[in-house]
Amino acid sequence: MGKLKGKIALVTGGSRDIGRAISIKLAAEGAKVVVNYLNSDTGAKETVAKIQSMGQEAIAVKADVSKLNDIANLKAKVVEAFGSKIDILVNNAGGLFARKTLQEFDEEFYELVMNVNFKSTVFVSQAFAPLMDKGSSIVNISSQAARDGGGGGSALYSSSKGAVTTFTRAMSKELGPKGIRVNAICPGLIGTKFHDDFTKDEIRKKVASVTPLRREGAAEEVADLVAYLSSDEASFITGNNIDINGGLAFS
Amino acid sequence: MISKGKVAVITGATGGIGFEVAKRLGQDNYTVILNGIEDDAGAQRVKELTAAGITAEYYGFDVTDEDAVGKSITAIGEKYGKIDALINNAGGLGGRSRFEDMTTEFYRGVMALNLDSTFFVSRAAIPFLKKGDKASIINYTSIAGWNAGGPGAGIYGTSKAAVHAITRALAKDLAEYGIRVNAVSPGTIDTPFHTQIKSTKPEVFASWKNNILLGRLGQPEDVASVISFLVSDDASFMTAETIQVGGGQGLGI
Repeated sequence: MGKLKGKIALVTGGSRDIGRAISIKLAAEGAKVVVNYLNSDTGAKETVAKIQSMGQEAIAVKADVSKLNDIANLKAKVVEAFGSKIDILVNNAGGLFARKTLQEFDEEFYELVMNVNFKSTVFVSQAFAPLMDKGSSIVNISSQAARDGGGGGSALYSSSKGAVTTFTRAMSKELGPKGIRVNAICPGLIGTKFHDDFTKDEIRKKVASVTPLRREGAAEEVADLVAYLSSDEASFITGNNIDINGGLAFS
Repeated sequence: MISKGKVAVITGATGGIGFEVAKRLGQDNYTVILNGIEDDAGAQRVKELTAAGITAEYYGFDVTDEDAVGKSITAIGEKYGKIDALINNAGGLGGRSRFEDMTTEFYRGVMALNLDSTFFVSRAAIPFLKKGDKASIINYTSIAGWNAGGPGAGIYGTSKAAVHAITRALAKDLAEYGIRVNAVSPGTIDTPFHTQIKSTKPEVFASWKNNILLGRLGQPEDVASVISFLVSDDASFMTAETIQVGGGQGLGI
């Protein structure tokens, strides 16, 4: 407890599932948290209420982080609430949206997936890196799909996450000399709404059964890794893409 | 990351990164068992840890000696009833040699120090890790395991690549007992490992930091903190994973 005391954190897509678990964990470790969300007003309110019930500070800010105007507005709200410095940025917002094969998806779907997963990571980083000093940290949420191409019909999702993984390495080079660390994590099968919506139960059971730890991961376990990477304890770790998949896939 | 009543065994713990790991796990409330081959240094290190309020004990044995490893690890396991964390830290460069001139003895020595040791100690510890509380093993690979090492360090790099693979193999083999197995891959860390180059080519040593994104060499504490995390419940879904601790030296891995 307390390894993020006094730090200011922004979590995009922080209202549910992994994003919510990250928001709560960062707060539990002492950070003040900006919970960004787009669709889930209720989820964002619940997340903030949960954090406040722990005696920590949090605000919720609605913004579509795939849109530059919304990012500018998010930045203004963050500065208004916590001042012109943040220590932790977690680019968590993202999604699969639907499983579509090469012959099924169109340009509009391509733009949706790439914008929400990749463009958001790029332009939220661009907006907030100037507010970050030596010792601060960016954690991007990539995916096991970035390593292995993803499951059926997720070519654009996995490719967008591949872009996140590469962007992470590039940013670690560009921002490393300024003392800003940039890492990504690559979650495997984590039990969340993502898979409730898009993955059949029998597939989930099958994947869990061949995972060395014999189970799905939990959002809280991903959050623990993000909190560690965001902390000063990880002060020599940058440019890494860390797998968290119960041993299912190696990279 | 606080673990009351847990037992950690750290090989090669009388100096460098290993001692820092012992200190850190001691601060995390582990009882720490230090291994080494320099008994005086071992006794001194235990004294230092004890003075800091850490429960520590030293066992002198050579991790490349199969029989000694078996006896010592069994003695530790029987005394404490379990092992919760095994840190296979012992290892080393063993010198530099180009292949044309490399003796078989040198080759076997480097492989023994890095790979045999990991195998011998892990094998002996498994019965006691099974009795541990969410036990885990930490191995040490190296950036040399990917880039095959600097001049004359080819076998060192090769042995570390093997450690990378045995980490995954152990993770698969031990998962059914809930034992997690991960590795750290230190980049250039300021330890006695680099003593020679520090004294003979200080300008080369000083230049190394220019190749590290964060602009400094790693410190033993940087590696210890990663291990503290990996053995803790915070890493409960992580197994078979290798974490680079290189300030950005491991890009592309």
